[in-house]
Amino acid sequence: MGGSVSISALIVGTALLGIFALASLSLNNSAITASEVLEENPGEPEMRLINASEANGTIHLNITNSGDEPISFDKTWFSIDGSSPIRASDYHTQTTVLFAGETQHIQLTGTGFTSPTRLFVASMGGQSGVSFS
Amino acid sequence: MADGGASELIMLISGLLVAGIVTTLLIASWGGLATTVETAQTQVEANSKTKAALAGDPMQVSWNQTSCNLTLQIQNTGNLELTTDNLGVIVNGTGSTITQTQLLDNSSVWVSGEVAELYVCPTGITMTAGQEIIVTVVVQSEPYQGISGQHSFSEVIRLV
Repeated sequence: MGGSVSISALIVGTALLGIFALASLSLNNSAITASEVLEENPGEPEMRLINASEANGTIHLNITNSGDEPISFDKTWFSIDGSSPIRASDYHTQTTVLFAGETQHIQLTGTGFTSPTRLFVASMGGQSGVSFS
Repeated sequence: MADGGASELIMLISGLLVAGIVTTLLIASWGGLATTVETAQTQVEANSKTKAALAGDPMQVSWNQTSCNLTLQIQNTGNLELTTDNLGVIVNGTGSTITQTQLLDNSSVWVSGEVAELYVCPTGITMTAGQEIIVTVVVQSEPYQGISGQHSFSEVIRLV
């Protein structure tokens, strides 16, 4: 009698320990997933349009990356006077990336805008705007 | 003695059976729980990979009352491809109809970094140029491990 109860208790105890181990593994997996998610979301880029001007149909602008992640011009879009955004890399091919802390002078030729008043830039959630001078 | 041995054997077998049943039940319960947790975890992961933001100038958003057309440009700022079939726009708390959606720059899929232009008709509201309104955009990703992620954002825009 006593022996059978002990063996039964041993089996049930082992099963409970196994379930606890599985729960611990699942918790560990959740923690790993959470950390991966955090790593994949570094935050929005921080950029600032310093100034913009237009001469003979060419738009000149200075832009600085004030964040700590590189900004790809392939994912950067300019909007002039509220128009549909144009991809920066379609008009600026000298460089492909704006590095952290870097300021670049960019020329946009062939946009079709003459005497624009406002320039806006957006890239992966980061935004900046400036009036033409 | 023999009777005692037989009864002990019966008790042992009974105990083993009960333990087996309990173990099976516990493992089955755990299996269901693990599946639920995994699904929730995948949903959180899909949501965290689904992001979007306004790509157009929020200070100069085109609005035409006559043709009922508000033009918005939305960039995919997440990691997953977004679908243009399941989009939602709320203008000043009013549900709107998206009359047309097109990807800019000849893109064929709405992957990370690409911009979609939406033509929106807010139902039954009157707005004027210079007015500042709140738009809420809801986007959905293509399925990730069988689950679609959702994301929404709100922004103040000025109409022109």
